[in-house]
Amino acid sequence: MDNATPSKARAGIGGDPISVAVVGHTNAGKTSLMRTLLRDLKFGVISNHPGATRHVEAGQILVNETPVITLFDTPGLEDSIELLEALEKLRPGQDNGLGRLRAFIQDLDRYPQFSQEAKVIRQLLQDELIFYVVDVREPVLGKYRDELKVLSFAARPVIPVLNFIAAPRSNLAQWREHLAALNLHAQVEFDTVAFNFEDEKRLYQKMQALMAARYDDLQQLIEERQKQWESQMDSAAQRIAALWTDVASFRLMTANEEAEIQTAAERMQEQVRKAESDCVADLLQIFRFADEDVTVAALPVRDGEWELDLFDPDNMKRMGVEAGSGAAAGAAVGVGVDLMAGGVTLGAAAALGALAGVVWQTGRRYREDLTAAIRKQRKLCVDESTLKVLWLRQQYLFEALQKRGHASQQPMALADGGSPELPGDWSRWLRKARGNPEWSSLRPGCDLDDQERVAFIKTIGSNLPGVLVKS
Amino acid sequence: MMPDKFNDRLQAEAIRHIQENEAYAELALREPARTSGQGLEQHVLDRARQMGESVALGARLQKTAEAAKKVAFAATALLFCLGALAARQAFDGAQQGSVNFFWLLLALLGVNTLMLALWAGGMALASRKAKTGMLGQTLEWAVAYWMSKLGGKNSADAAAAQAWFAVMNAGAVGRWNLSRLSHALWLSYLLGGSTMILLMLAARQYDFIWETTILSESSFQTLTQALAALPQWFGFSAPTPEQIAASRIGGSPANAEAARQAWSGLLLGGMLTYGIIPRLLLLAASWIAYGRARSAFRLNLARPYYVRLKQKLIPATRVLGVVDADEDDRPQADPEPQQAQEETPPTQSYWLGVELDSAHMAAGDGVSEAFNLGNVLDREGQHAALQRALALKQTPLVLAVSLQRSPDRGLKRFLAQLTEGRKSLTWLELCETAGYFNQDQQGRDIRICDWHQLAAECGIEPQRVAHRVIGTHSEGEMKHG
Repeated sequence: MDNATPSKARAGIGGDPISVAVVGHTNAGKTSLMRTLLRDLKFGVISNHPGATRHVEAGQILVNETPVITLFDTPGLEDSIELLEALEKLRPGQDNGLGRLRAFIQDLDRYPQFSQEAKVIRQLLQDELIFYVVDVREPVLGKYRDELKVLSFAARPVIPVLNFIAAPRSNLAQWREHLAALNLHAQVEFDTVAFNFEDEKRLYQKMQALMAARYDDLQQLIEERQKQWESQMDSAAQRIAALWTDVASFRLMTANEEAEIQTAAERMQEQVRKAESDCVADLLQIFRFADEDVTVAALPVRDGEWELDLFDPDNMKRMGVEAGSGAAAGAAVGVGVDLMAGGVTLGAAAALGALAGVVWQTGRRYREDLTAAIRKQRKLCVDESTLKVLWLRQQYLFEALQKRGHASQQPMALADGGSPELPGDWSRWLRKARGNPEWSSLRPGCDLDDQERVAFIKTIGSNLPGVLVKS
Repeated sequence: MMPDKFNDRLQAEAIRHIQENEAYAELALREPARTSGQGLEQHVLDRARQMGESVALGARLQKTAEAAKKVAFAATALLFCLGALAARQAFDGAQQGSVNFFWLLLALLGVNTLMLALWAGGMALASRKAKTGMLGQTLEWAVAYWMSKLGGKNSADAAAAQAWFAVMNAGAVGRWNLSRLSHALWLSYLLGGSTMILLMLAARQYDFIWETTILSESSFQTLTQALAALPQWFGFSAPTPEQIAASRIGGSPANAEAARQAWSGLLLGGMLTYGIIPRLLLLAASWIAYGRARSAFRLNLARPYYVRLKQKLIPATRVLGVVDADEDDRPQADPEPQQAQEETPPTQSYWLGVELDSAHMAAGDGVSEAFNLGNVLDREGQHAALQRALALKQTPLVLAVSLQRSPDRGLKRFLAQLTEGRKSLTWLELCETAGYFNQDQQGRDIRICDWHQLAAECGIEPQRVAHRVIGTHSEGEMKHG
């Protein structure tokens, strides 16, 4: 059984992946750890019942299509006290921990009750490294100490993964002390529910410390994961910023009559709704939440739609946004008249711009302003309160998607109360967006790659929480 | 054209446009089973190539490019004629064979110069603005119209045409592509004009005059000389100050023939140096810039579309599945919650904590010292407790366990050992820290069910399973329901 020796010589990525046994007491969160590391919400079976995982199931972490780590999810150790007793009673030829484990596996028929533990032990013997998952809400009981003793028989490096550290009642200090007493200093805090990318990075760094021969492979993995994480964050932030820009700069011209305004406003709402749900779908995909996972993760979105309509006044209450004024007469909720352009409309700059607009896209808005003034049209835009709700909602989803591990099973609590925090530059952005209706992809002919638009979106995106402002 | 990756990238962008545009949802693009290459871009390009094959996208894009080229040629030819016509028109205004030189020059070069200034202004002021307005749109409209005529709306041809323009009219490529076209069109216009001028001057005789009401003669002298400086440098003739003075309306130059020659030279020289040469140079520059923009063109892989594709094309993880299967096929049934009237243990019962948290030891507070058997935490504790229980024989025993522990097989074994032979005399008390399951009510219910199940398996009757919440705010008994 034990044919893989940990010290096998390997040469960089392309060699065999590092095999890791994920072990721990039943319900400690082994499968949750697997799901989070594999970014796969459907891996294995998670349940509150003990012994949900009965098979050994494997997954791999790849860098550029080459596996670097193979993780083996094992059934939980359920009766370590009796297991250790049985192991201690064995008198193998080779009287050490490894000898005992091998003798145990060879003589399995004598222990029908340990079919589950046997799978764990087989993995301990085969794999190079052990992740010992600990539920730190638990006291350091005798059975856990015995589990650690069994693990020590395998003579493999062990990384204790301290799960549920974010829980209010944890025995983290006691666990740390006990693990340190066993010389297990390479502990990692890793909450599979409240995911934090830095924790994941630290896990790989501990692996580097324990497996010097695979340092470079792991370094490459860390870098790759870092890059992936950053590009994920970046593209999600850009996506939200693009949505906001599209909606904030969105403008519709309509005749100054109530019925016309009403129809135009409704059309506008419909377009904005669709834009928002497209954005939600994109965000979920960026963070690799499949549609069915959304239900599992209990996000406040269903089938790619927010549960509450964007224009529902309840939103403002919920998010603490004050209802705005200046709604267009007769228009549906959430649509106002663009007051910003009023001052510019008849200026010389507008006239010049209108002339230039014949030739250049840039001048298009002046041309529009001029036409509007001549034809006495109304300019409709999405009102500020709705924009605030839109922004806060996406920001909320963005944060939730970042923080939630792929193992989270509890419903997300909607943050209520408190005043919403809008970015400091909010009004400036709004002015800028309103002044550039050609930036809105909600109207035909928008150039998505317009560099000024792209730069604007980048600026806005960098203001989302968790996004590092680069350069 | 140099064999570059531009066309591959163009095709990838076209695929993106088609996929992101709902109008083309019916265009069945098949996702390839696998893609190859080094790095994301290679994978994306390979995917686009494979997907494009099923709808002959490459050929269709090529077709659009050809069509655009034809439209551009037609437009160039048209502008040539328009230029000639405009020059003809300018000369037609001549009265009795005398033409106002400055009006003529303004008519021939004025619009061109204005548009050139607008172009330069646009490029400088908004070099970041990607799209030229009317020109690009007109071209786009013309070709899209043609293509949709060919294949109908929402056809693969229309999709290809739209995607082609989305790339070719946007960004640096679009800027220089359209600049190129715009310079070519104006060059053609100017060439047409110049040709017509040559013809007119060759076949007819005109006297060039100038007139003014408020300007002084000297300012016209200066203006003409300033205008003539550049053409003279190129070797074109220019009127002398005497000729200029004599050419004022009503005047008669001494040597009319020489004056006509001089003014004609200036006219042609002006057309060349102020119209044709700048446009020609700009055309060449735009051509080079366009080529550079083409080879510098990259897919924006930070787009959500490509980020999503990356996850699909270059997976970061892979599930291998079951490698060591569970042979004995135990069904995992969700135990039914059991409802039963709780039966309190007799007051003279022994009390034993099993793996209780220190906070839960309060559950044993009401038990007198003699009946309190303590808390079992490890193997030694288990052995000792079993010895005690064996000695106690037929006395009632309350086993206090924590609801926070999951009822694992080890606990089951130990509890079964304890209750062996005293099944009718054992009570189970589930202790719970108040608020522990606040976030997870469902988990709590499941946990309670699991403990009931374990109790049943150990032969403890359902009515003898009690439930206790221990904590600061809700101390006391709480029945599970």
